[in-house]
Amino acid sequence: MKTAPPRAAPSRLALARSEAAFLQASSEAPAEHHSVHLELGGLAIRLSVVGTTLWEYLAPPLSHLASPRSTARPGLTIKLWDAARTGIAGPFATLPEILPTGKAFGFGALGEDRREAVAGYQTPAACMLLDRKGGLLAGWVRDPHALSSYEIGKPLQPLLFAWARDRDILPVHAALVAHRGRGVLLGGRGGSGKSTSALSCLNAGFQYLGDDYIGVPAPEGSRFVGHSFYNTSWLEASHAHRFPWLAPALAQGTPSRGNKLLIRPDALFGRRMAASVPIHLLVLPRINDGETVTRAWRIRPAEAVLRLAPSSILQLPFNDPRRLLDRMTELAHAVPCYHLELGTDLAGIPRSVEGILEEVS
Amino acid sequence: MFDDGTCFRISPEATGKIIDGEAVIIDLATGVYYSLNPSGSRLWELLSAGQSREAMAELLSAEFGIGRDRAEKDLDALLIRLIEEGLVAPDDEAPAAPSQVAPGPAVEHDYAPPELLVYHDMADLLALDPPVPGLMPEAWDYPEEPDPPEDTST
Repeated sequence: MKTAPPRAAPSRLALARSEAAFLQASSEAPAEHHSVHLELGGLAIRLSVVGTTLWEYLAPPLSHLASPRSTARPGLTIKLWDAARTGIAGPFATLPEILPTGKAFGFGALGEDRREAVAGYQTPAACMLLDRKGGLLAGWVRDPHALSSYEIGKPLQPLLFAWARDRDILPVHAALVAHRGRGVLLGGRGGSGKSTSALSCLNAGFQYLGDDYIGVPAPEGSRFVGHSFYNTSWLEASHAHRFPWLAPALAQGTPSRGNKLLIRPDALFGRRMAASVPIHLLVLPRINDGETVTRAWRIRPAEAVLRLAPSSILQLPFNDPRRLLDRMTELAHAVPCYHLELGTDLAGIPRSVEGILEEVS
Repeated sequence: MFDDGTCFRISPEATGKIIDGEAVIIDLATGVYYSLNPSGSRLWELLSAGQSREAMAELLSAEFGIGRDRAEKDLDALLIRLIEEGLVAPDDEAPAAPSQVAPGPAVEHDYAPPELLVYHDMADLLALDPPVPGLMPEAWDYPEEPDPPEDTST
């Protein structure tokens, strides 16, 4: 006899039960209830966590977005609890129980309903749901010590990006640094030299907004602004010897993500962490270990888009490929685009970027 | 190779954009992405507009100043490459779109046959990021129970 396929339970009910479980967790450990107001691209977020260890893991990568302004109705309310610390288990076991469609994503899975009203993210250590329109993200962490460095370095990433995308802040796979308030977006696939460029610029006094993902809203006129999501960075373990000054910023006690190390540059350069800057320049780096000197030359917008767009469109979940391609094309026409051939002398990278900024100003 | 009246449909997984006369195409299913030179980009634009093979060959010949035979030969070569990559497929049932595509400006540079450049680096990167075995290794797709009606009694 043919058995009927499982039916996913209503996702909004699961969200309501998650929120109720959060309140219960908070009542179990009131002394470990932590909250902060954040601002991302002008949008207010309230992050609340029950469990001090979990808070110490998740809050630092977002600390540069802290806002002195509090609002009664933030655009996004995040409610997470530590299930091990509070003894409050999650109200369901796996995403397929409550979301009808889904797929594998990195070390976990993503799910959504067919109306794109609720999205879910689950890993071996955590599970959370997002009400995309209502702006509620609720979930639990089984044990903070079980979180991967990916989840610690970029907390809530797929759901935070889905929420931002729904509000037209499109996440782009790029780094962003700024010199005297002028932003330089560094794009390209993994291994192209985004982190090398961004960290070298940070060490030379640039502001730092991230080396992996940047939010880019629609321009005001032709003026593009880039918004930081996380103040963390990733560094290939085999490249770490090139950045000895970063040793104190290596996040301790977290396993590596593949062969990458989690770095917290704010531990060294807290005042250089920035949340938003206008984008004046689009740079596509490429590592050339055969050269000492860094060189740069101007490239066509089409070439810049070809190198910037695929990794953003293919790697990021819940995105809108057409809208992302249009946004990046518009950006590549609005600001000068340069190829940056990275030499082995890292000090030459910020000098070269500064030189381009002078050239185009 | 193809009948004059044949039209083609672009894969729903392919997202593309013409940027200053150069096409950038991304296959969302495979992670492979592509670029086309100016003549190829023009043909992609015509394909996207639902033009028949005949209309495309005619426009390629007129706009790039090449003979009709050569235009047909180069067009067919590109179509075969696009079909091999899974980006387009012949659509024998689709009626040809009216020739609404205005001829492009006269091409000032020398003609080069359509060329499709293929980039596999992202597909390789995505293949390096497998899910953790045992968690939820496969996609799922179940019927969904409707949300209960909202209580409007108060």
